Amino acid sequence: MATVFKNLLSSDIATTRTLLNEAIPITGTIISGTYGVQNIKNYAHGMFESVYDYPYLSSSANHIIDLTYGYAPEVSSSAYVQNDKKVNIYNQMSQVLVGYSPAGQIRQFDQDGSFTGGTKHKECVFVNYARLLTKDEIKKGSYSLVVNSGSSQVTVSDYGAQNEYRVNSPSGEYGILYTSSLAAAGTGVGLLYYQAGIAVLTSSVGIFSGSSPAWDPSEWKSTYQISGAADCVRQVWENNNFNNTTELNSTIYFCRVNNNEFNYSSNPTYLSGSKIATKNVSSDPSVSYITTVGLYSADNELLAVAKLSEPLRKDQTNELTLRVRLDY
Amino acid sequence: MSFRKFNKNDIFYNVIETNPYVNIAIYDSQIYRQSRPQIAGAFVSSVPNAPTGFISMYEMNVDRTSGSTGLIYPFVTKDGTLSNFRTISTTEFNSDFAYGDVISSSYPLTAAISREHFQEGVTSRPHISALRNTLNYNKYLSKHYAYSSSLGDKTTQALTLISLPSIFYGSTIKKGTVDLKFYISGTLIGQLQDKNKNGELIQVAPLGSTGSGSVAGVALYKEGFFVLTGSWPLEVDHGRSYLGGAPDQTASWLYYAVGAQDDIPAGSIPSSSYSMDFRGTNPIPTVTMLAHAPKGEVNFSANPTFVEYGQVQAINSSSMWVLEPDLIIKNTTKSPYVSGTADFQKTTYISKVGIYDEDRNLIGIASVSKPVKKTEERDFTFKLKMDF
Repeated sequence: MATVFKNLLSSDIATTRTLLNEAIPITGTIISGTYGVQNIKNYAHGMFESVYDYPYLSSSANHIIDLTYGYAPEVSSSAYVQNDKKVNIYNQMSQVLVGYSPAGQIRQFDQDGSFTGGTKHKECVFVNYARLLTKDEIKKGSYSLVVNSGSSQVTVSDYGAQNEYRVNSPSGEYGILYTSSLAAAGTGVGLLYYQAGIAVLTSSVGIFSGSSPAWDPSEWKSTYQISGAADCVRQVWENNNFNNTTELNSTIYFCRVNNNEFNYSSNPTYLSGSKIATKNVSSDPSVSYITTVGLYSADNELLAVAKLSEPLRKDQTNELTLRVRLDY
Repeated sequence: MSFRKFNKNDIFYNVIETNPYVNIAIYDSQIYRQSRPQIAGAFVSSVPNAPTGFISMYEMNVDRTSGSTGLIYPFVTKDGTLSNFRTISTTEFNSDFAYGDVISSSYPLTAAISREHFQEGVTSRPHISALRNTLNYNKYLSKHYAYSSSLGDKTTQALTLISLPSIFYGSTIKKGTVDLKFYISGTLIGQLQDKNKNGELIQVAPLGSTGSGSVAGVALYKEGFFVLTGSWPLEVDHGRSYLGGAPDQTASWLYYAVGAQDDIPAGSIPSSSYSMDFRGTNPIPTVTMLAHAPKGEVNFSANPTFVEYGQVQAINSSSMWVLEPDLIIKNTTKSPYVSGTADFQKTTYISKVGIYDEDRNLIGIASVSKPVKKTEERDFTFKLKMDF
């Protein structure tokens, strides 16, 4: 219990933000293959498919992604399988990720992120990453998805997104996915929403063409269930890598100890026979050893305690600044 | 929607204490927690990529290897905040990494019980020395806590230290729940319990056995340690390889939990097994709020369906401003007579209670399982409970 308090000035308090990242690989061996369908959960509603990193009946399994497919209302046809659900999926995702126009219409996914005309992604695969993997956000410029497209591989990535991303979404920032770092503007094949942790990939440019068994993604809208389209995506999934980001907010308190301060202690062991234990004669300088820093409220309530790894000698000949960091 | 303010009698704070049961079994240098066996994955020998009995802290990489699936790992970039992983020393941080370099760590991070055995006369026992003040502080509970007394000197006497990470027990081990059992070939040869709830681990079984009723050690409840000093034999004329090699030792509490991360190799003591049971303590702060809907209040709704269908509710025009006209509330009162019309009653159906802060930010929503009919004659109190 301290008997001497020292007020912290505004210049003694600083706030910082640290970014902690994790590298996340999601290989095709996890998505399809190793566990068969034991790590794939389909639901009675049939509107999306959940993928786990281990058979989901185990308590050790982590939910990693949800896969689904949808298209814009103008693509719809009552003859298509799960037509209403595919439209609902598209509308729901576009409401959340793209928002509404000033006229109150649901906006569609825009190829270049500007809503001044241009090409829209009207048939899309949605990859919803679990918050466990994306944490606060996907790190810009770190995303890559390799798919086996026919007999070759295509890498989809948010090339250059560190400096080139959009902010006109109600769900945060998003980047444009290209198949090459040299791809021309306006040739994007999808969008990546960093804070929402959702990748939107168009199925209309053929990057998902399967080789064995052969399929054409244009048939997903007409003859495939949503789960069937999701299965196709899993089968061509070769590898996926991205880095996530967690923001650690900290407050740093600089506790400054001047030469003539805190040289005495109220610790009972500081006195021996009513004499200061660290002095032999009365003219000896007073010495204390700092082991703990307490942070108090304005009402002198102890809020936090910081411990030193080893006691610091304090006397009239030295001054100390103790840096106390609180992470949130 | 109207706002109603909680008064001081409508909010109260409690702490619910839960006491989860923990069981740890040790056999042949393997630890088992909560009777969970070793489960092999497709890529690792023990899911979730941690030995049995270990707790995986982040539960990442449950069935991953670097070669097959790649491993999830954390990293930071060295910058002015000087953020770092604990596994990197200050010297390494300063000398091995330049600003902008990536510093990486690895998953999984695990926690498990561990055992340290100190033979008589061995004085290098830093983990025991570190507990000196803690042990002496607890002398008011029992004289057996004393670091040095007529009952023994913990700097030199033979003893065993069992360390429990706090993730196993929470804030403290519940007093009176510790139960340690020692088996040879499945037969119980010794059992310790803290039956007096003062930290003394007293031998309670088998009845009439050597040392029965004696104190074989002490438990440090808050810190998560068992210090075992009972050296009397628990079986007669039979030595076993409790030190991992010669000379053989007779079973005693000094050789409890052999194989729990103490470098004793598997196969050394195939007949001995151990069981450790206790309850942890996990306090859960809770807030209970009473939201009142008194008689004659909360009888209007801002829901559009609250009024009769087909009425013009607002005139939307850029050229004029029109005050909203009076609207007729839908009469939902059911008549007791066939094809009759009941008298109008102000009626709402409460489906949600929203909790707002002083700045009117919505901070929580409580939904009732089915809407509650509220008329002017009825009053309700909704009890909302929130755990942290």
